[in-house]
Amino acid sequence: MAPAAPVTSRVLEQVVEQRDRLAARMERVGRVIALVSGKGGVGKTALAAHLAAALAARGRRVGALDGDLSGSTLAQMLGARGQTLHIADDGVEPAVGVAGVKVMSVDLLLPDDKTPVGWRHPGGLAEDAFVWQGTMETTAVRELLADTAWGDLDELLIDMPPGTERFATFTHLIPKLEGVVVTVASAASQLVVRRSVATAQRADARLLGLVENMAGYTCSSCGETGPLFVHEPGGHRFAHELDIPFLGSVPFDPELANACNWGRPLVLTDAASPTARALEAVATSILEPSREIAGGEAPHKESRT
Amino acid sequence: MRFLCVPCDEPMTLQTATEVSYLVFRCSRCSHEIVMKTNTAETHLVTSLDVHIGTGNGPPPAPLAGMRTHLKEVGVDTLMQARDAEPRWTAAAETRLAEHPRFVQPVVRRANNDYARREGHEAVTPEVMDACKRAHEQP
Repeated sequence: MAPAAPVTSRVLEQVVEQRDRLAARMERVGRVIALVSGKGGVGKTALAAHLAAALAARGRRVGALDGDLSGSTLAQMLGARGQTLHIADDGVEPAVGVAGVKVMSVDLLLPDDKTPVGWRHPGGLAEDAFVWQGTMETTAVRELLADTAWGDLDELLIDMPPGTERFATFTHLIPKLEGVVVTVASAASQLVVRRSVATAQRADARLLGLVENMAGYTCSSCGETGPLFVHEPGGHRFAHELDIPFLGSVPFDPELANACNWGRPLVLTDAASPTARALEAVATSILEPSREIAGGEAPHKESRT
Repeated sequence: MRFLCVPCDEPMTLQTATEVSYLVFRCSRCSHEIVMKTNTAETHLVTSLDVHIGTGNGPPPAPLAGMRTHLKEVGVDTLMQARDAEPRWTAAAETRLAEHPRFVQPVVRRANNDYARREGHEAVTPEVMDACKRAHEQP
């Protein structure tokens, strides 16, 4: 009897094969755009959902990947929860959201609303998880990207988790990756965003520009629009400071939150509203990267000079 | 990483890797075996790359195999093999679908396709759409 072939692991080769599978999948995607921010809670996912819907409503073929594993809400905001994912020859068919946006999220794999995203560990101590958890999460996002049968897309939007590391990592995995930086005009957010942009620039990542969210609030009683953050520079000035283009500002709007909760993006249900028009302007800026928005500054009392 | 059998000066080969914490190596000349007990955290750091120790010559992994292996809990009905083609839609069902706002129609179509596949319906009819709606309304 012939001796059995030796068992080998080929760990490095397996990693290279994973990278090749991802590259092959991304070949059919025109642009891959990540929504990034150093800080959580700036409305990155809401912007991702609305921009995806706005682009799809223009007839573009759009995909949306939820890269925020532990805080995954993108499927809900695009009305795609509760769908069954089907494994086909070419990969896993993504869920379908409003306006036909193709959606993939770990949220779609979880059994119910109470189940958190948790990873198995092989009999070791749970407190060892810090050693491998970050790698596991990056692997999971890479797998969601590579194993989803996106088909031909014009744009694939990725909602990145707060922090900058994963964006830098994926810049190396997806050379065509572009970043849209999201901030609010608070000192805390701008501090972290400043560092995020520096990290991205050091990784030679391509940044399309900056979007200022929650820029101004229109009073529902008197209709007057005023600033939410009064002391910090507005988005246009902040983008100039960061030396990246300014893509637009989006006002704070309770209707935007409602739209997210119901999975019915405002750009589809109330396209004439100021918020929807602001979002459409950002979508246009993304489609035309050379066109920087001028004069889109929200009302700010820029008292620090 | 390679181990050499000292008496034979022969590279030892990995035999089994069902339990990655205990890897068995054997000398092909004298059949002497050793067990390498791995560091759990280090080993899991490698497996968290979704590479398979000892099975690197195997076929490419199935889609989302890593997620299905490493996630603690995956919903039973969330991921299914696509055995059947998408169900056809009757004209009456298409008419009903067209009553929805245009931007919602892809979601409604997908939800009804999922339901019909799950329940074994070959076609989506208004009755199937009613049943699908009732199923989604249940808590």
